[in-house]
Amino acid sequence: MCDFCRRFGKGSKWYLNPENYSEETLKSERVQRDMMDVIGFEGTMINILSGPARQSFEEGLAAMVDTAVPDIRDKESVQSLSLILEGSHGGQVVPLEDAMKIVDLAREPIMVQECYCRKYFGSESKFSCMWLYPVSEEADTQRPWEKHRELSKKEAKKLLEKLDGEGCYHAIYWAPVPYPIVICNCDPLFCIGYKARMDYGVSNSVLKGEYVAVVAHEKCDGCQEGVPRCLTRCSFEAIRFSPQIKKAFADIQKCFGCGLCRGACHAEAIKLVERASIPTVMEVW
Amino acid sequence: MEWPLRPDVVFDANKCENPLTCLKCMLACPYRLIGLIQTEPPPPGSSEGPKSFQLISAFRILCTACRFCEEACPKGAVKVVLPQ
Repeated sequence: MCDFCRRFGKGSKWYLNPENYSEETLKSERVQRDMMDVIGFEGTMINILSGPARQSFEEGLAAMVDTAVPDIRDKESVQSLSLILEGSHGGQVVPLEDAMKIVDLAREPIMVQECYCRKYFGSESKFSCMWLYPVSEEADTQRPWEKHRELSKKEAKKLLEKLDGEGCYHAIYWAPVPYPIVICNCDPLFCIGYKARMDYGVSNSVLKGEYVAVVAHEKCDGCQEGVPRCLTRCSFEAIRFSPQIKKAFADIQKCFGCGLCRGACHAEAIKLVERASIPTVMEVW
Repeated sequence: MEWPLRPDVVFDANKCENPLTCLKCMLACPYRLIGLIQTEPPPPGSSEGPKSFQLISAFRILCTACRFCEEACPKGAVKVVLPQ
């Protein structure tokens, strides 16, 4: 069980605890804290993400990482950045089925917007940022110039399935933890959170998910001809392949539990198992 | 000296007048390390989006100093500066 589940989960995964989507959590001191002292932006994290300053906040954070972590061997600077994200806007990978449950739990409206990472670091338009209440409501009046679409829960789930099939892994971001505010559907080439985590080691920018992938040795046929499909779907350097015996296997120490390899496997050889059930990874986040 | 040595990517705002209409350097970077940042957020509720942007570089630990961004700029406004 992750630290957030212990603190905010009430016996369940923290993001599956309905209380964390409630008015009470939203109005709590933790969520309503002015972020000026912490990150230099006025308002709560929700105000910042709903308002016109969202773009300068997100791209500015990316530009700041090189300054904040001049030496990635300096664990202290990496850790302090990670702590800022816990109290502001960090995230965690979730598999498709949990993202669907989050859609069920979330208050409406649900709104989809263009992904800022893809747009402002690559000029790509992808409607994959799925905002939850109240950002979904406020952004509509704060940033009417921005393209967005309201989604029913059914449409939101359909979109999640589509993006999953395209190879986008899902991650929820909080504002701050434990209030989930957006479901992202990410691509490692563009994602700000991904680079902060994978290249600089800032753990709270994308925490590992609550599961790990396990490949059933007897079922994997190595995709016989062509590229093993699971390999093309792993953004986290966790799927390995033996050319000798032509089978894939997962490095559970690296796995983020996104489940994309499972979805790509035509032999149904990959399943997600609870991280908590495997002693060697139960505390690896 | 800081470790590891990261190249810096420097943009000359006088030469690059309106990055929004160009973005050749951004699309040339194989790692998508060049970003656009709004210099002035529009007022809340404004029907028009941000107008002025500047270029930034981020996550330069991945930069291989390939200089594709430099070569892509038609105005000579992008420079990759290697650490001394």
